[in-house]
Amino acid sequence: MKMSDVRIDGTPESGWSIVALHGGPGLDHSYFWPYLEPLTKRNRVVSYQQGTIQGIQSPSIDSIVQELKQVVEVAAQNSKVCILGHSFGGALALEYVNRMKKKPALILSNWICDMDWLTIYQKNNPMASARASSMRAAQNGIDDPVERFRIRMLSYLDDYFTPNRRDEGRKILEKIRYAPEIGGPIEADYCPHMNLEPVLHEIDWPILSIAAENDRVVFPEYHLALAKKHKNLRHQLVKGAHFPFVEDSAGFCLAVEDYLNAIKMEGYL
Amino acid sequence: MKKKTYIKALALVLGIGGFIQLALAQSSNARFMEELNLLVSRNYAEAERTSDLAETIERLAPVLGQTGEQLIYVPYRDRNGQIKLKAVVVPRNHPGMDIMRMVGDSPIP
Repeated sequence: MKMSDVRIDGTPESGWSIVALHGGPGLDHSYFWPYLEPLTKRNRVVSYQQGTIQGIQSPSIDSIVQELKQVVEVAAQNSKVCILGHSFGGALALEYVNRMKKKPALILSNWICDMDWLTIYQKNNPMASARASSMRAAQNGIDDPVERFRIRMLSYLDDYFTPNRRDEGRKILEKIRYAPEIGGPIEADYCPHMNLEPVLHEIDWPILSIAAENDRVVFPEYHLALAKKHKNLRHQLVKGAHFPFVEDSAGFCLAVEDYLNAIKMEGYL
Repeated sequence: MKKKTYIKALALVLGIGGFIQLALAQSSNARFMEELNLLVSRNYAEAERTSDLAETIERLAPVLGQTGEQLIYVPYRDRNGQIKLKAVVVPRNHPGMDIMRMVGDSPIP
């Protein structure tokens, strides 16, 4: 593994290394920074762009889980490992646990585990059709897949961020190095069949499930319903929208620290 | 009396006509649903190998439009392997929606 492809911040004074998994698939880890910096004071934080380490030839859920396995091995040096999966990154974290039979501490933020999130989005968001139409109009005549991906993200800017964070949000979305060559195949081949609820049944240690009160992409009612079914999910509603660490970095990082302080390290990866 | 009988007869004819129309529409929808189910209940990998999936759905969509409530976009791969989308109207809560709803125009989670 090329270490240059992995961003490592902080040292694990707390005993924890946090592996931050971005959403998508097809986005990158740039959007975590500088918002996760408060975590680097006591923890090591490891982040990377899924599918780019060593250049995956055939992107698939299998290949990005294998890639995550390598990253976790690096993160596990001299520390315990906590996986922080944001949005689709939450699904990747659960796939890792399921396939590798490992026990990392788990924090799932604004996460998904099946496609019910999209049904709820379509039901609850009166702007869903308008956003999709606007996106298709903006993509019309554009063939470059990266540009089409960028347009798709920006078309949902108002759902991703609360009104006073939208300017900042636009800059964040503009900065992402979109990877449709990674995200496209995984979105088409894996996401329609994604069903990770059985994995939640099998996990017998506490998971911090973070939902944001104004998330208009993965609505908090989705997370609440899951928390009612799976008693090991510690449901926490935080401020902000789909990227809560952007909207309230201090509050988000505090929730992460509280969880890590509350669980005992023994038994974890 | 004659007028009343005439009205009753007319109501009966209209009623039967309406019933036949409804039955035809339901039969047509049922046929469509059956065909659509066949298409979408296969696994996605198989569906994407069906190069004429989008054309088939497009041909059938107007029939479903009689009761259709929702426009969604169906992903498929064209002959060059590119992922593309086709618009199709489907009723809500259709069992095939699990496969069909998604990608291409939704927000990226």
